[in-house]
Amino acid sequence: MNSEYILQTSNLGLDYGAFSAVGNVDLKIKEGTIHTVIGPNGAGKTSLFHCLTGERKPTRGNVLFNGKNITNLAPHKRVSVGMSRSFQVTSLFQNLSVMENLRLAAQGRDGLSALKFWVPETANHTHIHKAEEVLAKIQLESVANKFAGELSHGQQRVLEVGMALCGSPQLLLLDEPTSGMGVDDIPIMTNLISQLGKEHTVMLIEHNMRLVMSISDRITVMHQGNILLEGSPDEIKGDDRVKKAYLGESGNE
Amino acid sequence: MKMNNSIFGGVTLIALFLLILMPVLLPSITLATEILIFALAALACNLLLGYTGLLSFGQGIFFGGGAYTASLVMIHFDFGLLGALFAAIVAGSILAFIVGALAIRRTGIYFVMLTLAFSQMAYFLAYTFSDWTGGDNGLLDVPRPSLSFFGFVISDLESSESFYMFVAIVFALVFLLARRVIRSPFGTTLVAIRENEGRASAVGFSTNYFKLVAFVISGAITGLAGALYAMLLNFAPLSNIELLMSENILIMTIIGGTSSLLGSLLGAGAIVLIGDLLSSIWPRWMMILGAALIAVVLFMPGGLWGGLESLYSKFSNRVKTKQSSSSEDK
Repeated sequence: MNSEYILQTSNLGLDYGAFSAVGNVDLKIKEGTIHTVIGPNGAGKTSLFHCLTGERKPTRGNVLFNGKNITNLAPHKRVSVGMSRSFQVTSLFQNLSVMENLRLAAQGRDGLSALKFWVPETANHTHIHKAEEVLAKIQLESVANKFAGELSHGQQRVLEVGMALCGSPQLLLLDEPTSGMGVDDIPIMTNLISQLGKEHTVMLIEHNMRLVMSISDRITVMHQGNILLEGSPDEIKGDDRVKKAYLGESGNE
Repeated sequence: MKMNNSIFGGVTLIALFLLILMPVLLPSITLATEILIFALAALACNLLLGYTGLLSFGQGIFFGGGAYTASLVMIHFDFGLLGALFAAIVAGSILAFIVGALAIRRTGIYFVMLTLAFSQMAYFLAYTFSDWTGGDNGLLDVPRPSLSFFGFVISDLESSESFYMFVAIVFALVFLLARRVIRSPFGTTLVAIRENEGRASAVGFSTNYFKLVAFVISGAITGLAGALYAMLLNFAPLSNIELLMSENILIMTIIGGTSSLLGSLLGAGAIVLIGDLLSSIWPRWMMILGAALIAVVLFMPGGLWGGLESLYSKFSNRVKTKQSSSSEDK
C-alpha cells in the first residue's frame, strides 16, 4: 500500500437497484493536499461522499484510510480514526451557543469517554481549549455566546466547517461548503479552506468553480458515476472532455 | 445555564427551600410526601424527555417494577429499608435497560410505540402473575421498615413527619445527582442528541449508548420512587404499573416544564394538589386536568417553570430598564 495516500478507494461502487450511482471509482487522495471532486449534477459526487463518510454501505469495492480498511466502519466511529465531515445542509445544535457547539464537537472525538456523568463538563480542559482554538481559526469569537440558530447563513456555514475541525481530523471531508452562501461570503470560506489545507488533508465536493480552481491542489472530475479525469486545476481547465461533460455533446459545437 | 454554575447553587437552593416549605404550607404532610415521590418520577422522566428528547411511555413499568420489587423483598426476604430501596433501584435499572435497549433501536414515533407496547406488556404480566403481585387487589401489607445503619436505629419512620423527612433527604440527594448528570460530559451530550442526533453522531458520539445510559439512570430513579410510594401507602396497587401511571408521570413532567429539573417538582406538585383538591369535589376532575394540559401545551410551551422564568425575566428587565433610564440621562 502506498503510504503517501491518506485515503484510497478501490473499485468502489454504489447501486440503487439497477441504477449505479457510483460505478467503479479508484479515488486516491494524497496526504496534505486539497482535493476537490467536481462534476455535473447526478455525476455521483454525493453518493461517493456518502460512501466515504460511511452513511451508505458501498455495493462493491473498499475504502482504505491510512492503509486501514474502513469500508464497513460505522460513521460515528470514523471520527476517532481521524476523519470528520461537514454537511451540505447546515446541521448544527441550533439552540446551543456557538462555543457549546464547538465544545461538543471536540468532546465527540473522545467518543464514549463522554459517558462520564459524575464530573462537570468543564473539567475537561482539552475540549474547551480545542473549541477556543477553532473559534479563533474560524473567526467567530465575537458571536461565541450567541445561539447557533441566531447566526447569519454565512456564519452558520463557517461554524459547520468549524465543528468538523473540532474532531482534530487528519482528513476533513467537506460537502459543498459554500452551499447557499451569498457571493459576499464566499471569499471567507475560500480563505478558510485554503488555511485549513496547510494543516489538514481536505477533500471537498464543490460547485463554485472560482473557489475550486483557486484553492485545489488536485481535482477529480466525475461523470455518470465514474471518474472522468483527474489532474491539477490547470489541466482540468483546459480539458475538452470536462467541458463536454458539463455542457453535453452539443456544447462542443 | 444562566444561574449558578455549581450544582449546589441556583435551582438546588430553591428546591431545598421548597422541601422545607412544603410541609408547612400543604394541608397534610402525607400529601407533601406524595408530591415528592411523584416529583422523583417526573424528574427521572424529565431526564429522558427534556434533556434527551425521548418521549417514554415506559416510566410506569419502572415505577411499578420498583414498587413490587421493594415490597416483595421486604415481605419474603425481610429486607431492611435501604436494602429494599436498593433492590428497587436495581430492578428499575434492569427493566429500563431491557426496554431501552430494544426501544432505542427505533426513533421518533416508532420509539414511542415500542415503549407503549412494553408498558402494556408489563401491565398484563403483573396482572397474570397475581400470586406474586396480588393482581387486581394489589400487594397488601407492605411494611415500612425503620431507618437503621448496622443495627443502629435512626428513626422508625412510623410517623408521617419522619417519613417525609426521609423522602425529602432522598429527594435532595437525587436532585443533586441529577444536576450533576446534566452538567457533565454525558448530560451535555444528551442535549446534543436532543438538538440534532444526526450531527451528534457525525461528531463521533455513539448516540445509542448515551440514550441507553440515560434510560438506565431514569429507570433507577423511577424504581426508587415506586418503592417509596409502596412504603408510603403500605400497599403496592396494580395501578402503579398501568399505562395511566406512565401518562401521569409524563403529564407532570410536561406541565412542570422540561427545561429545568425544578419544573418536575412544580409539575408533580400541581397535579397531585389538583387531584387532591378536586377529587373530593367532583369525581370527573380528570377532565380539568386534560384542559390544564391543553392550556399549558398551547399557551405555556415551557411549562410552569418556563412561565415563571419568563415572568421573572420580564420583571427583572423592567427593573433594569428603570434603573438604567434613571441613571443614564441621554
